[in-house]
Amino acid sequence: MIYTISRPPTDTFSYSLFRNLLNTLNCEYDAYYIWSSPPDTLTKFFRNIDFNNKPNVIIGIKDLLDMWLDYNYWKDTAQAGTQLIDAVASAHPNTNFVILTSLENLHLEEIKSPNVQIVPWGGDCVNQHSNYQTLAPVINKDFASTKHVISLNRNIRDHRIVYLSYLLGRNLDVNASVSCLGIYNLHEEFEPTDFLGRIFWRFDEHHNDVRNILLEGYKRFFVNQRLIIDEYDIYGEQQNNNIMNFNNNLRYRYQNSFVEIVTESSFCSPAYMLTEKTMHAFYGCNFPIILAGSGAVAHLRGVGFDMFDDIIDHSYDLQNNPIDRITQAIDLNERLLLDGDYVKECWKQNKDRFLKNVEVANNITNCYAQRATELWKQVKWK
Amino acid sequence: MPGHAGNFLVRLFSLGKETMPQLPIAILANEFKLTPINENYTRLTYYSFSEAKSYPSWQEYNCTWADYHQDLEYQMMCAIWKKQALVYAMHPCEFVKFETMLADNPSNYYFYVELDIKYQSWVDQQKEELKFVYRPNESEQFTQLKDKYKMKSINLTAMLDSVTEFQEEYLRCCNLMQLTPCIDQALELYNNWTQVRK
Repeated sequence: MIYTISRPPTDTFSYSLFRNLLNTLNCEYDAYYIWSSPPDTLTKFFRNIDFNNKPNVIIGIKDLLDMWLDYNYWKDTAQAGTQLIDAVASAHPNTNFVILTSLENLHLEEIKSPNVQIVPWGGDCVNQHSNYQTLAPVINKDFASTKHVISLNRNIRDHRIVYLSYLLGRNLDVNASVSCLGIYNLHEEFEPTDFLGRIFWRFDEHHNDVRNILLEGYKRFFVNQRLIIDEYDIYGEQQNNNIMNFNNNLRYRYQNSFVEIVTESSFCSPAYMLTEKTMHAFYGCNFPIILAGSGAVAHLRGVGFDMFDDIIDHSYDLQNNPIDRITQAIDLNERLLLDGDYVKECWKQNKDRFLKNVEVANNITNCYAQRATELWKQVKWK
Repeated sequence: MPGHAGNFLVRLFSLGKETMPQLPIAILANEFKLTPINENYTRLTYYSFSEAKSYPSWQEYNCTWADYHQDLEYQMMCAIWKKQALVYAMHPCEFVKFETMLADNPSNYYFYVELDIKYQSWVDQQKEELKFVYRPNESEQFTQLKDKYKMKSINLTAMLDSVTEFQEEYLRCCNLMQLTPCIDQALELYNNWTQVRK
C-alpha cells in the first residue's frame, strides 16, 4: 500500500521518481511519501504509524531532516530527523526500512540500526525542474554595477549569523548586496552584543582573531548596516514558486552581480540538502561560493558542474569544522569579493562556461534519477 | 458543481471499512485520542444528516465537517488506520487550487456528478440553502477538468429517481471506484438524506 501523506507544492520529479521506483518492486511493502515541513508532521508520522504491517517499509522524505533544530557539530552525531528514523528502526528490528532522502551524505550520519538503507533522490534543487528548464539564464550583466557580489539570506540560522558576522566583521561586504530577510525575528529575542549568547559554536585556539572579528561583525549585522531591506514573504499566494521569485524579485540582482555566496539551509551536519539557492547561482551565471555541508562543492563537481576551480578557491569545502569552512570560504576568495574589475574580466573570458553550467542544471534530474535507480537496484529486500 | 449533493456522495462512498471515515473537523483535530471507529455502527451514526436541523443553516452545518482543507490530517490518519481510500468532494475552482497535490498520483479516481435538467429547481434550492457564491468560469473549468482527467460520471438523476435506481447506481459506482459496497448502510443513509434534504 502506498500512502501519500503530504507533498510540497513543486515536487513533480520526486513524486514521479518515487512511484516509478515502487513499480519495480516484487516484494511486500508499505510505502509512505511525506514532506518534512512542518517538523511535527514527521514526528507524528514516526510515532503513530504501525511499521510491523509489512516486511519492507519505504519512506520518501522530501526536504530537510533537521526538524528545524540547529545541529551542534561538536556534540551531535546525527540530526534530529535522522535520530527519529534510527529510533523507529531500532524499535522494529524485523522491518527493513528504505529511506529516500533529499539529503546528500545521509549515510555519513550515525544510524545505529542495521535495518536502514538510504537512497538519495536529489535535494529541493529538483523542485519545479520542468519550469527551470525554460528559465532564461542571466547573461546580460551590468558591467557598471558597483555591487558585484550577492549573498541572499532569508531565515535566521546559526551558520548564516556566523557567516554574515564574519563577512561584515572583515568589512568584505563593501561591494556586496547582502540580505537577511529574517533579521527582525532576531531582534525580538537578542541584543547586538549577544553573539555568544546566541551562537554556541566552539572556538579553538586558532580562532582567537576570528572570534573578535565575529563579535564586531555581529554588532554591525544586528543593526542592518548595509543589508538589503526586503520583504520576508517572497512567495505571496504562490507557495514555493521559486521561478516566480527568481524572475520577479531576483533577476535584476543577478544582472548586477558576478559572484555569489550561497548559504544553504543545511550546513553543519555531515548530511546536507542542495536547494534552489545553489541552482540560482548557476542560472544567475555567478561565480559560486557554496556554503553548505562539507563536500557540497565536490558533489556539484561530480554531477558535472564547472566550479571554476581556476578562479575560486574551494578548499573550504574540505573543512568539516563549520567555523573554518565559513572563514576560509571568505578569506581564500577575498580578491573575488573586493576586486570588481578583476571579477568582471574573468566573467567575460569565461561566459561560455556559465552557459555550460546552465545545461548541466537543466539535466540535473536525469543525473539524480539515474543515481537513485542504480542505488535502488542495490537495496536488499525481504 | 454546487448543489449536486457532494456532501451526501462523499459519505455514501465512505461507508466501507477500507475507506477513511468522513469526520467533523473537531474530531479529526483530536485524531490521536480516537479509538478506531466501530465499523458496523458508529460510521453511519456520524454520517446522519439529522443533526443538520440543529444548525441555523446547511452551510454552517457543512462547515463543521473536514474536507480537503484538512488533507494532511486525513492522509496521516489513513496511514495510521491503514485505510486504502479517501473520498473528497470539490467544486471545480477548489479542485484547481488543490490540483498539484492530486497530480501524477495514478491511484486516484476522478468522478463528476451528472444531473438531469429536470432537477434544476432542486439544484437551485440547494444552492439557495448553501448560500452558493457565483464563481465565474466554473462551467468552463468543470468541462476542462472532466476532459483532462477523463472523469467518470455518477448518475445522481438515477439516484434521485427511485430507490431501485439508487441501489443500481451505487453498486455500479462502487465497482468503478473499487470499493466494497455496503448496500444496507447506503440505503439507510439515502433515506436519511432524502428525508432531510429533498
